[in-house]
Amino acid sequence: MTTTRILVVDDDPDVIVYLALLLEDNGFEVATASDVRSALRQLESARPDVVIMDVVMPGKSGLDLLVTLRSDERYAEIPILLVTGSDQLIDDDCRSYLENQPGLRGPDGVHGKPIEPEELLDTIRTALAS
Amino acid sequence: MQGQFEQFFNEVPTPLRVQGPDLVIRHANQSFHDMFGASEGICCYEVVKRRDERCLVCPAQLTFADGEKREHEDVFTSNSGETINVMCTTSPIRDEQGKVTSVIVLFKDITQLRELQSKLASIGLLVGSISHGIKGLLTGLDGGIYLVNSGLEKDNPERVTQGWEMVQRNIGRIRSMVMDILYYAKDRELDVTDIDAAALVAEIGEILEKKARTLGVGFKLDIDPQIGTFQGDFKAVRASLLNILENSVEACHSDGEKDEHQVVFTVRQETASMVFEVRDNGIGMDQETTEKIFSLFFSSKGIKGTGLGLFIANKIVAKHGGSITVRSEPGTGAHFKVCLPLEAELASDPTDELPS
Repeated sequence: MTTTRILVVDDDPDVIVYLALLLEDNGFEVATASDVRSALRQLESARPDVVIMDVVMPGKSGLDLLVTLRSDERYAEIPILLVTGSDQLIDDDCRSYLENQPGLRGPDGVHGKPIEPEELLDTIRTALAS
Repeated sequence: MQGQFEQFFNEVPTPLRVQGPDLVIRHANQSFHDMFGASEGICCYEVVKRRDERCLVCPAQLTFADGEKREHEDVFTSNSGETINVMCTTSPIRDEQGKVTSVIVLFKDITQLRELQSKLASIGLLVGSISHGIKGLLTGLDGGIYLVNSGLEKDNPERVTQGWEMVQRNIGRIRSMVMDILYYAKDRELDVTDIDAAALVAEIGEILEKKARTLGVGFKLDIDPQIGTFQGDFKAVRASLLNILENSVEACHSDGEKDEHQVVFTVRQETASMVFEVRDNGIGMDQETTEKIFSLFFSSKGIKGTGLGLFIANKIVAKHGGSITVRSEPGTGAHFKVCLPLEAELASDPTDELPS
């Protein structure tokens, strides 16, 4: 059985280390990126099975990355999970941002920070099963 | 008797004017004169608004038209150039036939109230921003705890150490966030003393070097030990410089592009000022970010920023009569230059002062 590859995108190095070890401990293979630019480079080099990303990051946001991935047929089907500390962002910005992108599939899961590890792992498994 | 009423009118402890249908001020009391200068014979809008046309909404005119009392909020400019929020109340004065011959206008200065409201609104923003920041720090703490626990389970001391460093780093961030909040909340007077620049820099260097080392960022201090003294509030200047330096270290830490990162802190004396420069080769900022970094609650650091740090740094420097300039380009790094006068020219912050 091949291992599932997850790309983690977050500008906070602590979160990257945390998620990478948590996911590796649970049997996943992990690639990391600290911004959208390097996330796109990572995607080119190896296609992940799931992308977990932060929303508010310096430069382009996670929502920009979501739109880029969903609009590119090579990546459109990859499950995307958002992890963010901003409740308002989940509620308002995310919705209005996505409403401006008609026909675009939203994220496959949204998690608030601090992260509940079990919930996150459950969402990953559900996303992979569907 | 008339003299006594005149005295009553004059001594009413709030600005009061009486004007005719042509809006020319006929009488004004002492309090009005104190705020706007001699005004009799001049139209009200020229006096309180410094304009030569009637106002769009004129409560006095409305009272002339229907004899009803009016309340109206407005913004005036006093003769010393101060902006005053006022609540105007108008009341008709009628002749024996009941015709409104003049209108009495009373102002209540509500500047303090409005300032309080805007402060409350900004406290609301602050709470949102703090909770946002705390969530990010909690995630970092959770991460540290996960590393410590799983490191112990797996008998992996390296992981335990890494996790413990993560916990310490995030606790440090919480500490500086609390300091920022205190500086923001308590607008204290500067405690100005002669500051030995070398001693100040040594203290800052010690704190910063530790942080830079944990984050794998180089830190270089460039200062002449004989640099001398300048006047200022030691703790406030230290907090201000630390905020800038910590930002630079974090900007380096967030940059995945370059192999080596360094923050260089230079201090030199110019003719009338002490110049502190912070250069980093971190992620840098675009022009829009550079323009906004000193604004309250602006942060480009994602979850970790409250948008308080540089706002406070800038406020402290401005209070000393100094200045901060910043130059930056995305991808190449940033350069902050803080100039503090050798002799503190204490500047009052217009947003903090409530008119007496």
